[in-house]
This record gives sequence, structure tokens and C-alpha cells, in this order.
Amino acid sequence: MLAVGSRLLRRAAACALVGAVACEPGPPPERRVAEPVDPLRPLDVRGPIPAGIKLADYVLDASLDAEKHTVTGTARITWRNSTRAPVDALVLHLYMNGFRAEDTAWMAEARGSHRGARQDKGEGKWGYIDVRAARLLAQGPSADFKAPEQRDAAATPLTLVEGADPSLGSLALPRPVGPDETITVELDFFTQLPRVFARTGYDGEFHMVGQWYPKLAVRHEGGWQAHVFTLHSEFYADFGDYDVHLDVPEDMVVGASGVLVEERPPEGGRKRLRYRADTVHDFAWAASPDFLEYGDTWRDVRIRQLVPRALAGDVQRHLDAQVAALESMDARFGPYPWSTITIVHPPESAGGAQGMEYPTFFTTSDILRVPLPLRLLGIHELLTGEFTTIHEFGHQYFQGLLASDEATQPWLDEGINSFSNTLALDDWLGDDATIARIGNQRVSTIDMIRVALQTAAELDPVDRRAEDYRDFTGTFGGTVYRKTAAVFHTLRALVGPEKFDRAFRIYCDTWRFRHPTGADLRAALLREIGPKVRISDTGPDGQPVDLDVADYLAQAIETTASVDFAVTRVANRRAVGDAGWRRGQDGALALIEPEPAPEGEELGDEASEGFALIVREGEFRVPVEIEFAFKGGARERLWWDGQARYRVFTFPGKKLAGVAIDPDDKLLLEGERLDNRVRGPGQRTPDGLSDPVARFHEAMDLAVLGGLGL
Amino acid sequence: MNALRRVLRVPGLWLGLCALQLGLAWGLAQPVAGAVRAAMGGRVWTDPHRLIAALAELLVQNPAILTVFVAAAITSGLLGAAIALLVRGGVLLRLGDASDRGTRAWAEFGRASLGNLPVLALIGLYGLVLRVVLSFVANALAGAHALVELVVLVLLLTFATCAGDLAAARRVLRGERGVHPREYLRACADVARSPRLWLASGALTLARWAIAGAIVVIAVHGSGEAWASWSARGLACVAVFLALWRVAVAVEASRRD
Repeated sequence: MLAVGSRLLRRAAACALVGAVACEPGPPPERRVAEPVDPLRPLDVRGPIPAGIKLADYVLDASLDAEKHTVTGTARITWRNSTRAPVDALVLHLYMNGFRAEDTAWMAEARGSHRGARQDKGEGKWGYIDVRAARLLAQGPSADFKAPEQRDAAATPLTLVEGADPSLGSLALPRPVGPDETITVELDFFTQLPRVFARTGYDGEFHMVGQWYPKLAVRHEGGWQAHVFTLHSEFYADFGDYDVHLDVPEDMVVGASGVLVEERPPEGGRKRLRYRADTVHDFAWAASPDFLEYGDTWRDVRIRQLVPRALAGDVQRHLDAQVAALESMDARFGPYPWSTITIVHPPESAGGAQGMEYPTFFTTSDILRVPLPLRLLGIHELLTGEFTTIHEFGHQYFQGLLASDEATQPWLDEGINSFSNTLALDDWLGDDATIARIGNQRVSTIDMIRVALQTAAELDPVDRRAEDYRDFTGTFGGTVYRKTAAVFHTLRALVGPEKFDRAFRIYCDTWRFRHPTGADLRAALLREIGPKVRISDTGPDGQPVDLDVADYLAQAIETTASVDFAVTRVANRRAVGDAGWRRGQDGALALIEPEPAPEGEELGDEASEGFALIVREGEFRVPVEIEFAFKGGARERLWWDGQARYRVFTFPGKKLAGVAIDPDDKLLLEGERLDNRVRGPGQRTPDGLSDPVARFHEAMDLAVLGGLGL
Repeated sequence: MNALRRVLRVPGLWLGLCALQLGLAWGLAQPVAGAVRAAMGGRVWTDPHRLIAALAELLVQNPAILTVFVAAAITSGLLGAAIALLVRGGVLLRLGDASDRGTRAWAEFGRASLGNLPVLALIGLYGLVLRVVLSFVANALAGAHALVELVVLVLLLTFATCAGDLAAARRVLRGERGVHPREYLRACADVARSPRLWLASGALTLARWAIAGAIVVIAVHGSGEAWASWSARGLACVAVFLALWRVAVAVEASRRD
């Protein structure tokens, strides 16, 4: 009785102190919606799928040992050679081998750390995939695509040879695969999952199964596009259809790419599930007995969230973000083609699995739990959970649908996706959306990008291979994600949102399912926007100011040049008068004495000449708008083409009160903004920062003195 | 005479301490303002609700400003504690007997403050040790539940404050030596035997902490705005009043001994 009373007392005290935190309601009731029948949305909604783009079909048959955290299975791969040359070997990605030992390319660069999380020590830290047998099943104009239960006794044994880095392997073929010929091979594999690290693995009974099966590289005319798995490289593969059979413990709740087409009644404590994913280039799944399921629909797309009980209170916020992303991206980048999207919330202890995308499936991250005292400070943020959901869904377009080669040009996925995320947030929350707030201060999408530009974007150009970014420099995120986003935001602001959005939509429509390169994107933008865009009809000398789009993109993507303008001098001086020796009408020189007049700021407007020196401190040449404020309140805006190193602006008969570079904040690529706005001489307007900082500091001092003093 | 009446009888003391605190906070903010103003030069920031972005850029360009921020914050904490210790003797004397006025009262105030300073510092040290010990006790009592631990900790810390006030009042007003730990422990025992004393002192301590918290909340919600500054100053004066009231509760208790 005493113990019960004590427990009640403790609970009551806790609730009274921080009621909202300690007495949070239980998880909302689960809700399910019907499984879509077809993995794709109806043809009239999604549009046609281009012919001949499916080159690699997979039948995967896998069994999860949830105690040993292993997956044993077979991968039957049917591949068509779409190149003009015969192919005598198949090259396979064995991604899980990136985590096999300290000296793999992945681990050597990461040194046991990924996104700030350390790899676990001790048992279970390593993951690997072992291809134990390989067979050639069929080869010819059209290869078989059999159910996994049907084995082919006449199969020809093949040998897989691992590459210098074990994340790649190759299968030599007895006979080359000719152009347009198809081959079916089958591989028996055994995958040991690591304890969750770098997107994949297990944590207790939670299993995130990604990069788990042998996966074909992409054959180009020049050879195999096979990339050693490195710290920053992600994935590139051909589209195909996936027919996946999973054998898992009966109590597991499973989320996977595609749609569930069959679930056999449990037998011997295990159940067998069959999934189908059409026109995708990868397949991932997650399983946990602790998942709660929340199903919703957006138009005809099923949204399925799998959430551990502890995080179930967040499902509505993630759903809102997911719907906002679908609304925005479906309208901007073309219809989302698949009928489903599955969002997996890894448990809090499996942070390494958070924030990763696969076709029609992604993992999101936890929403930051703000303690009650901090909530009183007005702290609110969308960065930790909602932003991740929007970001990972955005990959469905740029990684899943356009499917550019992420290893060769990571900016085409991560960077363009980051650009699209800010558009989605603005569509959802209004222009220049606030993504974090503390009291009366806010951080916008623009601030988030701009802060990263200052610190990390000047060492590597945007267009680099993923493997060329070194972990030491810390530039991958700032350059690939944020600078790329800034490049396209700036271009959009300069040419006008309507023109840019139309061009970008054409790029997305043209290259759906077609693996565009950076050159394809640039060509599409140049074609649709035009090589030159008139920014202003009247520049400072009366001549028009144009943006050379090709030059802009070349500087932005191929170089490390930074955008940086500064107002380095603003002054008012005596205007040129007519004093001195002048020839009169009779041809004789006559001295004209100036009227006595005050000096400097005491001069009248008509006798003054305002001038400002604008310097292009960065190497990046781009047109920039400048606003001049004059004494008396008048303002004038001018565009400068930004080609020269500097430009002096003079205003006879006017006195300058201040100058602002890029007053409408169009050049998001410019990381340093503080030197863009300068007050004129003699102006006593506050700087806008020192007084607020001092007031805040004074208040904090009072709090400290009031709390500690006496 | 109850404790509140003791405080109300010395408005000059309250106003003087308020002026000291407000002046100190304002003065400590000036180097910060000066450093930011110097770093800004003639540049201007126009968005009052995106100061974080401006500050982030300014700090990247002038990391030394951060040193000024931190130094000013540490100084305010240290000065707050030092001044509280310095005036403690005089405050106790004035609250104990407000009958003297004018220059003589200030002279007495100064004598009581400086004369008792070493012993009051020692009592403060005992209080610090007690707080550390009580923190461990709170942790042990509350087990793994952080919230319960917080409640217990608050209760025990208010106890330590009350005991310190009582020991200091006995030293200044009753002439006890106050040097030996036994005298401090006796004050602790008396507070433990007098829940009403602990409750009154604890409630006033908590109210003062709440006001300190409210100042932080207002400062953050009204970052850089004039209304927030004036609200913070007003609340700071209320905090001083509450502190005097709490000390007066100990004075009252020492008179009853």
C-alpha cells in the first residue's frame, strides 16, 4: 500500500511539475487502409512509362533470421543488354560489403562514423554479403522469369569474383550477351546485417534491410557504370520490376517498397509475404514486432506509416508534411507515379537508420522533443522530423523517378532535392517559410541554406563525383545539398519563378525514368529559359542588363567561385561646378569664382553628388540589383551586370542616405549578407543589431542577477 | 513585526539595490553593444526577426565577439554573487532594525557589510557544501525519475537557502560567531524543525526563481524590443523585493529565537 501510495505521489508530483511532458497521451489508435492492387497509379494519372526503360527485373526470395540478424535468399535477375556491344561479364554491387572490414573503401573514408554517429563496437558491428552460388538460368532473345520455387536443373554454374573492394563483384559469362539479348542469372546470397549504422542494420528486433541483395550495375555504351561503395556515394541502377518473397517471423510488421500482393497464413511461427514493385530500381524493407501502423490516403496514393509506440504521437505531423510534399511536388515536377509510399520511423535507438530513401519507401527521423521549459521560450521547429519527411519523399522524384547517377553527380539528387524541399515548404507554409522559431526570432529556409554556404561551399565545385568529396573537408553537405539548392533558387529568382518553373517541369517530364545527367538538366534549362535573359532594360549606363544562363550555370556548378558583393564606400561630395577660368563669348578667359557654400554634409542637395562604390568581392559574375536611398526619402533601384570588379555609382544633385545590394534577397548564392546594406555618411540610424543584442544581454544579466544575487 | 512589514519599512534599501542591479546589468551590456557596433561598422541589418542569421554571420566573421558575450555573462554572474555577499551584512542589519536613518544608517550599513564579510563568506561556503551534498541526496532519493529528482532538489535547495539566511541573521543581529560548522548545522536543524519557516522562505525563493525564468522568457519572446527590456527591468525590481522579503523572514525567525 505504501509503495503504491509512494508511486502515486511520485507520478502526481511529476505530472504537476511538467504535466504536458509526463502525462502525454498514449498513441492514437492504429488505422489501416486497403493495400493498393497495382503498384502504379492509373495510367491516366501517372502518364505512360517510356518503352524499353526496364532493363533489370528481380525476383528476390529471402528469409530473415531475426535472432542472428541475417537474410538468406536467392536473387534471380533478368537483364537485357540495351547497348550496341556484347557483354561478357555482369558486374554486381555488393553494397553490404562496404561494412565488412576496416579497410573497405567505405569504412576507410568514414573511419567508423557516419552523419556524426559512431559505429557500434563489439559483436555485430560488421555487415557483409556473401554470394555463395551463382547460376546461369537462361540466355536469349527473351529470358525466363520464373517463380523462385521453380529451380532449373539445367542451370550453368557461374563464379562470382569480388573486386579489389568487396562492394563490387563480377560474374564471367560462358557466352557474351549480345545487343538486345536477355540473360537470367540466379545468385544464392547470405547477408549479415550490422548493428544499425549508416542507413541499414538491426537494433534489437528492429531490422532495416537496405542494400541487402546483389544488385546489377548499369551498362552504358562505354562499359559498366559500377561504383565502389564509398562514404558519400549512393546508388544508381536500371529500372525494372521487383517480385519479392519475404519469409519473416510471424509477429513482424513489415514495410517494404511496392505493394503487398500476397500473405500466406502463418506456419510454424513464420509468415510468407509477397511484394511487387513496378518500374523501380531498388527494393528495401523494414520489419519490427513493435511497429504500429497508420494508413492514410492522398488522392489515390496510399500513405503507410510504421511507427514504434514511443513515437506514435508524431504521426499526424509527419502525415501533414508528407501530404504537403505530395501536393507540392506532384504539381511542380509531374505526377507521382506509384500508388504507395511507406514511411518507416526507426526507433530512437536506431538513429543510424533514419533519413534514407528507397523507391516508394523511406525512413524518417524523430521530431525533436522540446522540454516544457524550452517550449515556454517559444521554440518550434520543423527541421528534425517534418523536414526529413519532406526531404526523403523528395528523393522519390530525383532519386526514384528521374534516377540520375548519384555516385557520379550526387548534386542531381541531393542538391536538386534540397531545392525542391524549400519550394515544398514555401508552398506549404508561405514564401520564405519559417522552419525554426525561438521567441520572436525565426530561421527560414533561406537562412538554413545561406549559413551552410559561408562555411563549406568554396572548396569543392558542385559537379564532382561523390567519391571525390573527402570527409575531412566537411564540404559534401554544404556543397552538394545547400549550394546546389542556392544555385537553382538564385537562377529562379533572377529569371522569374514562372519561367524557371515551366523549364524545370519540362526537364522533369522529359527525363522521367531516363537517368538524366547534369548536362541534360543544363541543356533543358538553356533551351526553355533561353541563353540570355533580360534582367533589366536600363542598367546604370542606360544599356540593358542580361543574364547569360550558360555562363551562370558553368560558374555555379563547375567552379568554386562565390557570389559576394559589398558596399565598400558611400559618400556625398561637392558636385562639379563651373568655377575657374573659362572662355567667354569673346574668346577671352574670365575667372568665375564659386559662391561661398558649406562643406560636406552641410551642402545642399543640388550642390552635392552622392556616390557609392560597389565591389564584387567574389569571383562569381552575376547581375545584381542595388537600391540607393537618398536624403529626403527618395529611393532608386538599378541593376548592375556584375561583370567588372567594381562599379562607382554617382548621383549629381542628390545626397545618399544609404545603399542596399540585392534588396529583395534574390541572390541566395551570396553567403555573406551583412556588408550588403550600408548607411550613408552622417546617418544616425541604428545598425539594427547592436541595440537588440545589448537589450537581450541586459535582460539575461538581470535574470542571472535576480536568480543568483542576494 | 512580520517580515513583509520589515521590507516595506526600508524602501530606500530596496530602491538602492534595484538601482545597483539595473545599473550593473546595463553596464555589462554596454561592452557587448560596443563590440557588435564596432564589428558592424556602417553596415545595417533591417530584419528585426532574423537576428539569428545576422549574428551567425557576424560571429563567423568576428569570432572574438563571442568572447565578449561570454565574458560579460560570466562577469554578471560573479558580480551578482559578490555584491550579494558584500551587502548581505548591511541588508540584514537594516531589515533587523530600520529605525536609524540618514548618514548614520549608511555608515552602519557599511560597517555591518564589511565587518561581517569574512564570516558571511564562510557561511556561504558551508551553504555551497550543503547544496552539493543535498544534490547527491536528491539523486539518491528520487531514483531514476528525473522529474522527481528535480522536485526533491528544489525542496532541498530552498532548505539550504533558508538555513544560510538564518545562520547569517544570527551572526549579524545576535552576534553569534558563525564560524564553526556546528553553528551552521544548528541553523539547519532549526529550519528542519520549523516547516513554516522553510515553507515561507522556500516559497519566496521559488517566486524569485520564477521571476528570473520569466525574465528569460520575456527576453527571448521580445528579443531586442524595448518593451521586453522595460519588462525585464520591472521584474528584476520585483525579484529584489522578494529577495529582501526572504531575508526578512530569516531575520524575523532569528528575533524569535
